[in-house]
Amino acid sequence: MKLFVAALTLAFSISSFGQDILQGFISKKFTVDEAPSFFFKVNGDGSMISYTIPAPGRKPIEPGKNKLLDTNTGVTTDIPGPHDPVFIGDLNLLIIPTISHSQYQIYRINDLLKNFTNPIASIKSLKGFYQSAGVLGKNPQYTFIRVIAERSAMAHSIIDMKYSTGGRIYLDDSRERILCPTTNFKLPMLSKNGKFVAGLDIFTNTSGVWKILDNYECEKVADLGLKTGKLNFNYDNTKLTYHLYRPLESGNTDTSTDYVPLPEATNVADIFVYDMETGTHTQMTKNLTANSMYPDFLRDGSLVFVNHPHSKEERVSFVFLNP
Amino acid sequence: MPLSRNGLEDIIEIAEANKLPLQILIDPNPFVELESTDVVLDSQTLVKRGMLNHFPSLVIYKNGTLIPWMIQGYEAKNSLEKLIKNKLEEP
Repeated sequence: MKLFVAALTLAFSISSFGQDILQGFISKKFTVDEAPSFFFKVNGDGSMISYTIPAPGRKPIEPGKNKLLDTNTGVTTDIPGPHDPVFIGDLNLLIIPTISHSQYQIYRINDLLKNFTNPIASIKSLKGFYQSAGVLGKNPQYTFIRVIAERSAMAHSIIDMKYSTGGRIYLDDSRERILCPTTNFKLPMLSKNGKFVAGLDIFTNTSGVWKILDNYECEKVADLGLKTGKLNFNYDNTKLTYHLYRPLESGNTDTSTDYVPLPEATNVADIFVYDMETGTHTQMTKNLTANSMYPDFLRDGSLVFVNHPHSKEERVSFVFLNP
Repeated sequence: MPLSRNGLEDIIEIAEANKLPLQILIDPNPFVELESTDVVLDSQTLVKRGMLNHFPSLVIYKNGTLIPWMIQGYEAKNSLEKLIKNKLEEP
């Protein structure tokens, strides 16, 4: 089923909806009628966004609804799975867990857009949650893919596979392999080239970056010095982006005019970029009445994040920020 | 977050099995409608420590003091129980 639910706004203004942009400018903004959960993903050129509408109520293990938004047309398509549809590089593939999390399934995006919902592969040897994918390289016949998932703070699951020009998936090893067996961290996120992983180090209580060695052991190469939201790499591994919540300080609430609404919450989430080469953190947004979260990089260096206004009367949007 | 709901069930069971007092805090901007018994997170200390950055988040108080440690994201029940016990047993 396809629905037109996204509205594209070309918003070149500096400030809107209680959000100040500290670096760069907003190039595009898509508002959606059904509020997505925090989770969303964007492909490399920003033409597709995947996200999940959470199930109503508080019952556990209740599946949400996965959606795929074509940002060129504004059309959304219902896609399979309970949550977490993740793009695999620029291969027009999505990897999605089953409801039971007993396996992951890989779909061709072109199939899903035609409402053909059979996966091209089912991966039983990848165990866990919060999967992320990278592309290790390619030759004339195959593109080499790596996917990881979090089993627990003590172990993560990793598989390497190849995708043929004929459109088939071949696993390098059908057994489950363990990533970073001697390193304990949460919320692992694979770099776009599949060779680094970022996460929350549960020993130091700070976010860090690890290089993945040939034997799947990991060597820590950076510590961000603070605990961040989920991290995402840019396409040349020189930068990471993340969100961070902060309490609103009294000086941030502008009450000088009747037209500025007072914040309905006392906390906001903002977007930051960490430079791996200089070790510096740059704040990109400064919100008053909204939470900007889960940023990721496009191939051209732009950022995309989801923006949740505190007011339920305002709609959730996906924001493209050109830094 | 879908996995928060699963994680909360596990955390309640771990607390009950180990007779640990548990305080459940709700996201200040929740997807669900708040109920009269809900307690919304309103602690600058916990926000500054990153508790809202990912759900579920779990912190531990020991002898009335907040331990500078946090587990974020869904963690399988057995593993989570082990992590909590290890943290409580640290001197």
